[in-house]
Amino acid sequence: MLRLDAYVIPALDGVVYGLLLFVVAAGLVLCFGVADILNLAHGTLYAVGAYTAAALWNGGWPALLVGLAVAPVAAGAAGAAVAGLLAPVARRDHLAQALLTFGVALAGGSLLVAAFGPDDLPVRVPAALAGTVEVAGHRYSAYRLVFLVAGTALAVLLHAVVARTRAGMLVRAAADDAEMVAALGFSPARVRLGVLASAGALAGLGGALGAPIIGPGPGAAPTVLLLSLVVVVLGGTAGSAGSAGSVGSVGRTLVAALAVGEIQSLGVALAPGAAPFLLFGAMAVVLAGRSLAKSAGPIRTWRPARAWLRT
Amino acid sequence: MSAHSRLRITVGVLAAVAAVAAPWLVDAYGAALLARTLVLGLVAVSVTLLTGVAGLPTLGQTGPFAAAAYACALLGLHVSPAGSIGVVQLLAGATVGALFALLTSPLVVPARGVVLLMITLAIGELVTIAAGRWRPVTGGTDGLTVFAETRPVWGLPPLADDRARYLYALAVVAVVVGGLFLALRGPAGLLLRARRDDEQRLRASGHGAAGLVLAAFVAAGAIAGVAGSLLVTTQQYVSPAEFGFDVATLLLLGAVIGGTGSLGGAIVGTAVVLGARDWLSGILPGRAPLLLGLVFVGAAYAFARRGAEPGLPSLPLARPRGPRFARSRLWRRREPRTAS
Amino acid sequence: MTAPLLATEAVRRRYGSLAAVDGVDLAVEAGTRHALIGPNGAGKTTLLDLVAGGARPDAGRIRLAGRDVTALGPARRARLGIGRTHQRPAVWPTLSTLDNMVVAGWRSPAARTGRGGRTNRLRRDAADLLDRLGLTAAAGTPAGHLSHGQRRQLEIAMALFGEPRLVLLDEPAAGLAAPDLRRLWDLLADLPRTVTVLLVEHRLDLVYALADTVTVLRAGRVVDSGPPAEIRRSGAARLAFAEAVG
Repeated sequence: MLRLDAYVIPALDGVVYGLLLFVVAAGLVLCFGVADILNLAHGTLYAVGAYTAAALWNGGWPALLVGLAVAPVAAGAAGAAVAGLLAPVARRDHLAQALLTFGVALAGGSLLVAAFGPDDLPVRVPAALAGTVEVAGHRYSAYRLVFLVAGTALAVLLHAVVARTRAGMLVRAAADDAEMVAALGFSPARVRLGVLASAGALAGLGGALGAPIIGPGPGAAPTVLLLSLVVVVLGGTAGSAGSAGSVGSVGRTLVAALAVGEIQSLGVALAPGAAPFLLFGAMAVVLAGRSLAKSAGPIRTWRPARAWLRT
Repeated sequence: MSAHSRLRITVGVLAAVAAVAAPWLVDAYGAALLARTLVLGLVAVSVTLLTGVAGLPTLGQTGPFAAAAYACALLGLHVSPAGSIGVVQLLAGATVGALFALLTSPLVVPARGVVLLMITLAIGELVTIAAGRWRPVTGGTDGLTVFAETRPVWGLPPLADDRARYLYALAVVAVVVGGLFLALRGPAGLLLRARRDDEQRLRASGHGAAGLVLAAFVAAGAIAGVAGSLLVTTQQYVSPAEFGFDVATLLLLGAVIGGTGSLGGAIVGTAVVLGARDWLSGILPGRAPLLLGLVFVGAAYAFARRGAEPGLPSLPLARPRGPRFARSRLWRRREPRTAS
Repeated sequence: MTAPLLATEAVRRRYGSLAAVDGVDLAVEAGTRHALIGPNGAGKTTLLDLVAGGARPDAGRIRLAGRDVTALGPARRARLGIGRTHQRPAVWPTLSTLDNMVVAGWRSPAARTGRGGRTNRLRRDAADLLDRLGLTAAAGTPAGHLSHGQRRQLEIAMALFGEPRLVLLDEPAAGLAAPDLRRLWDLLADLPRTVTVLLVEHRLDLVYALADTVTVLRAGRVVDSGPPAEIRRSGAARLAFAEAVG
């Protein structure tokens, strides 16, 4: 008999984890959907944010806020640096992008380890957040509960930015047709800079907020990168052939992130050691189902590459 | 025959001679290192087949590589004596690799470009993680040690030292790469390159692209599978550390350095990359990732496509290989003049 | 009365809120040269996309020799004998000119005549066709290094190589210099009547000289259709262009 009660905490953990992944993956979706860039250094940008939090937080509230402000700036600057490095590389040259961003990830990871040491660092949060709170008869980390609220607020904010601001409109337009946006006078270099800096800021903010959850250490960057990639693949990408545009894709990314979060938490609780298989299975089901749906339904345009991207 | 092909043939012959003579020029450890380089080089050949020839960029060939390696290790451990016969292991490796590709095909066949890179990366990484966790079967992070030495064929003595194992691997790699080279000179190579250039145009000529892509993945899976069986033969040990994201990117770098679509180049490029990595670890221990990272960035700049068309000759080190399809005796034509 | 080789029945295709093709009935008789003219944005290329299978209509049917091909994809339609060129010549840039021809002709209905020796035969026939186009010298060059005019010729040769029943030409004369134009004209004029041509073209002199039937499109709809002399007289074409400009 399944004791549902025992799974409340892992399920809650899954939502928290999922929200964290959403914030991070949103940056990756932005890079990829708008600027067609596969940024393998994205996990490193998260790590920059997490290490910033570890360095600046001293248990006091002012330090917490300062850290939350500095982390996105630092990671955003790192993102901008990546954009600069990518400038000589052609937009469509994905292999060179992959090699370059991987090189940045390697070098960046090495620099972080050189600066902070090879161990996982502890993160000091204010005392009020460090304790536990009673939730449905269980004790749950106060920080994670606050994160739940903060993460949801961030998700809503992101949705609003994409749906209602001019910047968001540009993002959606570029996701649909980057050449058109370039023709409107937005230089590709400027777009790339803006996108990578924003993605970096998002990853950095996620890194700081998430430092007590996926903490700063040499293993953080690869873990975060892999999970964000899975979220992006599951959630589809920015822009779509329908009228919803990438507004809908923010929602899809959120759902995918929550699913991955639950698999990593609840899935592990239910079947320890099965997480990689579950992730794999989820990807298989979603991707195979998607391509089946496309071949069964009325396919409007036989341009498979772009059509696949515009899921 | 042009000066260019004469040069290529000369280089090729010299490389072959060097490859055969090598184990007598180094010690046992050196021979083992060379064998490992060959094995990874063969995986890089499968990466080149997909990335360079077919235009399907992949970071996931470590998937079939790992699956086949573990399968052969298990074969060597539990099925004896047949499991220690080289031919059996090679067949098993190729089959497992091809099956892996077939089973993961619904995820990868519809994808292109960046999305394909992401999916293959995720698949390769998940296989590595799964190998690390599935203790009962894979031995977890400790891996599996295969004590029985491989005999190439029934009746032959086992490969007792590193030199013998290296030569065995060399022979297998030569056969596989040679076979692939010949296969790509024919219609298969033409169709794959045409799909790489313009898939829609290929459909407009009546060819279905999906079957082509599937065939490419399965073939690449089989080749990586053969490499997996060679890994077990030459090292007699397999663990998750052999696979994963880091290895996949090294292989991609090796394939890119070797030149778009160049099979021999993939092996040479991999040797260069592995050599650079080991050299860097030697001169500045602890700082190796930093230097290696810079190498990657530098390589990205050096080998970035400069031509307007993807795949159109512009790589400094090697020219794209292509089937001599049109160079029949019936039809004399000039050598393709490539801009650089 | 035999069915026309190509018939579109009330085909409709929208892109977002724009009706690129808005209820077009077209009938192309076998063996004829049928021209589609109209201002930019009239839906001519979209119509060719719909016929070739690159896009699927939102409504209506497309019939090839009476057979409903609306649900078939581009590869299948190509195998049934539809060839196509594009506004920007689509060739395979890293393949040599000769290889381009061979791959293009491989799956054509005419090439399906036994396995062995087919590739040699294809190569020989391709070489012949390249010769007629004056492209022999470029046979070994990667197609990406050809000039625009040569690429255009190659693309047309590729479309014709498989001996299609119906060939769709999208502005074949665009960007061609005088000598290349001459060669194109000769090629089109010498085409056997077993090949039906549906041609989109802005150069009206070419159209009026070559076409048996002219259809005028405007804003996704057919404005007029008939022999060139009639179209000229009726001024429908002039009106369509004028309204688009003025």
